[in-house]
Amino acid sequence: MKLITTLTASIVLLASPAFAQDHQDHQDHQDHGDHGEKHEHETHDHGDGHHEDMTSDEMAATEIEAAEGRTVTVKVNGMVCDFCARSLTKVLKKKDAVEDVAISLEDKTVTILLKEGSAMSDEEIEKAVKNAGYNLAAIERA
Amino acid sequence: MSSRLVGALCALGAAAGFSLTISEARPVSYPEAWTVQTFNEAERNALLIHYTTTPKAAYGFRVEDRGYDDHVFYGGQHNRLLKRWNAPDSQANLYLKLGAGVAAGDFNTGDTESKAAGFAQIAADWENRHVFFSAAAGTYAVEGAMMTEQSARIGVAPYAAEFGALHTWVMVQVDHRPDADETLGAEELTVTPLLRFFKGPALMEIGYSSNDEPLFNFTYRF
Repeated sequence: MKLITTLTASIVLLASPAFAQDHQDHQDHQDHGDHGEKHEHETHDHGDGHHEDMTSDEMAATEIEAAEGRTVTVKVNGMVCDFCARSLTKVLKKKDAVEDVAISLEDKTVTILLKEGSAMSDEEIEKAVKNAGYNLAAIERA
Repeated sequence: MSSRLVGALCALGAAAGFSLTISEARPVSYPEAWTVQTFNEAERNALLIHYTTTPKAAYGFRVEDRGYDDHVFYGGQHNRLLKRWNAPDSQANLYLKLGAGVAAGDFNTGDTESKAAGFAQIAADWENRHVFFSAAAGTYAVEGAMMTEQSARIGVAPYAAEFGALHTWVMVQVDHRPDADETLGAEELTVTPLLRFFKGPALMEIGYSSNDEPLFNFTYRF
């Protein structure tokens, strides 16, 4: 099955972590650009120089933590692996009110950064979590 | 995860002969997601591309070269999440996979022909951030013949990685194929130690079986 083997090798090369991360970052930039708020994880430096060493996921978490009043922390049951959590980020980032999402597998939490002037009800959040295949355990609003 | 659920899953694995066939990680993804998966092991090489329509259903196309059986299967595949148990520190799933299509090849007879073919499989898994267990049992049927197979996996994570980091699992897969034709080099029971790595949307598995066959599986979701 040379065809499949060749295809597999091609996919591996294309989907190497570096490529995958870059692609995700560019997608994120595009998404944010559509709403007129550029949220550049790769280049956005708060002056401490730390961001050069951080992944985009870590940067998202840091920036969400700094955004007081617009964050919602959601405790999720069943979020035990990266693949699971990725589903949640994909589903939540499709929501118009969501600017960014940060995940903590250790704490089993999803932290949602809402756009300025936007809101999401508990019911909307619960529906999104369920649509990603998980169960909401608790919601905490900052 | 309740002890009753763990017991039920173990019973399912035992009833299936401790089987579990294919290591199709996350056969149902999130709505509107595409998944590309390749499976290369023991003279069996498969490509599966599927699209998830709802949190419980995915539909796709599968092509599988079954070397020992000397034919290639082409057909549609439906994956259904029958039940998911989300607990604070673990998750368990029960899946049904169905496929129907055409098998084309020599079938070890020397005469090329095409036959209707199909398969059905039930699979269960349970995992937390440190331990993984799965089991599956399936039947593959081609006009005039039916084969059953079962497999099971257990895995441990040497470290608990955070979101976005490289996740690593050390696993052992046991495959039981009672209809394997040993005169063709197939073995009824094989054990495959393997390593699973995943980061972001990509998952890769590398192993080597007791039948001296390499294993390479790959999954990419987008």
